[in-house]
Amino acid sequence: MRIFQLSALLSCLILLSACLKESNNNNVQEVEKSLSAQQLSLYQFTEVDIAFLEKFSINALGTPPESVSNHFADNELAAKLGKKLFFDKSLSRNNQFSCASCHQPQRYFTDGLKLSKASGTTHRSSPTILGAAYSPWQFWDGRKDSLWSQALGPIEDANEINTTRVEYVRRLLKKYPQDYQNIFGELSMSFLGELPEVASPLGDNIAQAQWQAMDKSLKHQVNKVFTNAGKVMMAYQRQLTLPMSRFDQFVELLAKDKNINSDENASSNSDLNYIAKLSDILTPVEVMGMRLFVGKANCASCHNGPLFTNYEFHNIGAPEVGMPSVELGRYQGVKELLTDEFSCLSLWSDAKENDCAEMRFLKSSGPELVGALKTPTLRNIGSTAPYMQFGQFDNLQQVLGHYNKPSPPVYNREQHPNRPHFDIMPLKLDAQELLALESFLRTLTSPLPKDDPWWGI
Amino acid sequence: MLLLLKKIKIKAKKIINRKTIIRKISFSFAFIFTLLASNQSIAYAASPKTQANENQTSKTQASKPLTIAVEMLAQANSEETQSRQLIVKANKVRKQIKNLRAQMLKDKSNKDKLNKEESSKEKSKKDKSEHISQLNKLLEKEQKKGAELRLHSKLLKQQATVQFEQGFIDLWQGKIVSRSPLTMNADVKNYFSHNAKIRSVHKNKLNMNNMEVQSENNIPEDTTNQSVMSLEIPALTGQNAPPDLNIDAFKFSRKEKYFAHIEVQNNDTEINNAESDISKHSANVSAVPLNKIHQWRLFVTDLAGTPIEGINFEVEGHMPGHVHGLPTKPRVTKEIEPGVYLVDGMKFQMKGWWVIKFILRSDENEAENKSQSDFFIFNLVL
Repeated sequence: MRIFQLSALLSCLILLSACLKESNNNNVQEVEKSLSAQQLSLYQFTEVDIAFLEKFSINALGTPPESVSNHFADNELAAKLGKKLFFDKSLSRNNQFSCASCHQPQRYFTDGLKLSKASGTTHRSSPTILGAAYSPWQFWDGRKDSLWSQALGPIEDANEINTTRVEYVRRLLKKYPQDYQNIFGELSMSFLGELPEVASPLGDNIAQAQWQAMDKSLKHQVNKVFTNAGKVMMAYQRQLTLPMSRFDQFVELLAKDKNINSDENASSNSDLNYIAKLSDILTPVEVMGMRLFVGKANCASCHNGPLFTNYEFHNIGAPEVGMPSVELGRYQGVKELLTDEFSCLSLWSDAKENDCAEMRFLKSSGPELVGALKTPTLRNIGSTAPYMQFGQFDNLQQVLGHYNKPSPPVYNREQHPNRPHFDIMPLKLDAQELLALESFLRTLTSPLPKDDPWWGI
Repeated sequence: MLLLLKKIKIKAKKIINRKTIIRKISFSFAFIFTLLASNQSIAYAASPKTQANENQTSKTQASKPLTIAVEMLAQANSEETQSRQLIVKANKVRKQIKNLRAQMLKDKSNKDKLNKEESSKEKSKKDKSEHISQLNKLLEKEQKKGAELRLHSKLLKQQATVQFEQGFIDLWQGKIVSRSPLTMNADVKNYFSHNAKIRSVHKNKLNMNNMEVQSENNIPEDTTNQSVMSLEIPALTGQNAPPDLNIDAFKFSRKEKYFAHIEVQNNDTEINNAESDISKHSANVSAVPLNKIHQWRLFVTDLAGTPIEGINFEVEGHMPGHVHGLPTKPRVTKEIEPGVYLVDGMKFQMKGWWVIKFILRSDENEAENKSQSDFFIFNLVL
């Protein structure tokens, strides 16, 4: 609502941009009239500017990095089965939940909740899975080193799908025997008859006891199918692509026309015509926000590249929410990685040990790990509220308010191994600049691809 | 060769001495002279290099640069000690002057109260001011001499490194692939760092302006194309590597017991299945990749040129002005041959100034405190 309390200049800008849209029929004179010199300059980009902005375009993304630990990562059959598993509630114990319960495609694979709700309430908010295939680490704290290993976590988590791996494997093989064997080869299903009803090394006491009682080869067979389920879901997630957002269209137009417009004469007719086209895609306020984003507001220092993230871990001091345990972030994530049953170094990985360089040289200590969380993508950020790991912020205004005047991280002497690092500086932006920034962030939302079968909307 | 070198050194010293006599010559002038003098000896130091190459060095010849280097190092260290002593002495003199001045002030304030013995007071005042001016001269002289010695010692040490580098090359015939400082290829672009503060947008604007257009057009800044970028991108602050930063790939250890060299290990197998970006790196043997785990080789000898085996290294790295270290935890994974260590797990997620430290944790050091361990420090400006 504060939007309407803004300065006269800003509303003027918006009005003018509206005028601009009308004047797009090559009516150069009208463009000239409606845009002040200052506004015109917002749309003037140098060749180097454009080259720089192109690095943020979705067109620069390319295919996901090669997966050494999953040989089925780019197998289309695997991706198709993965999609089925992703959406299938009948694989869960009570037929109520699937991955899509908390990663809903129409919400850009989030759920719009502060903390996600399935069998229970999750510890952290469910992040989008869009772009996850490009990250070397999964979950907010990076406690998994691949998307296939990540996919297995929620299945057995008591607050999420809450289904032991034995139950899951049984249901999967009964429902999709052919799909499975088409990918992984023939499989004798006889071992299913030997399985206890519930069993998992991670479940409750009964499940754990049952798991311990299983013989080694039986455990092996269950884990094989279980990890393959993760691998096909990873293959599925690697197929998800993003249509161009308005920001991407803007950059594409800039890049396409940069040669035509290398002419220094800013007031030439073709130039004004060009600016009219540009302003049809992004308003002056949004362009101002874009300039702030890569400039003074310093957002691009971590939110860079086509996915607007560096996928590294930082502590921005998002407020604690009064839970008994403090947010240890990457510090805890690394600890869990070192003992992870399904890492790149595990038996279930398709990689040779030497190929798991990130795990072999994992940084397991260092003060900068404490409370640090993975930089999230800003793609579709305007449509994926609430924000931060616990959904601390309801809207983008609150998020930007935090960056503008951040509170340092809480230091709990009993729980923190050292004083948490604090990775951000107050931005000291004024209300107008904050609004421009917010407007720009909203240009990063892609239209929902209703016809894309992978999205399944 | 040694004799000639010593002669030059003496000459250089003479120049310095002569200058100290001519007091009116400013210190900056002296500085230039010292530099000139040392340049001569650097040029000299470079000459045995070519000679050695021509002669198809044998091991005995190879040890010559090492001998020279060790002597230079010793000389540099003795000069450094002398310089330190001079500065200590100068500080004492300064204290003396301060005391005398304080006394004079005290005498002056007492003078009004006790009007007696005026003449003797005047005399002592005169004595004291004379004494002060003498001391001032002494102070100036010692300070100057100390500073000159320190500079000369620093230059000598640099020459010693050059000599040692040559000895090293001869010693590891054909095994050292690159002598250059480690770099990143210029076409690798990575504009960002977290924690980049903004002081002034213009001051910190990325220098990609110079890099991309000005060098091509060679047009002075103020005539055209004033801003090649209209986006005001903040650059890395706290990342201004000092202009005289030593980025050599050859270094003495902190305690000057060992000498080491680093270079990038280029794996042929990797080049084959790598993307175009990475194969580009392999063309430049001194270039490290961005955001990719890779290996280095670390060559280590003692000052006699004997490869040192079985060192237990700890690898540390950080970016000055940033709160973070390396994104990985590199370590020595094997000793390829005596004195040649394979360092695996190196990864740089950012361009800029990096400091990589190899701490020696050999058995003799194990009992020692961590802070007492010897180490090598390599500065990289990527």
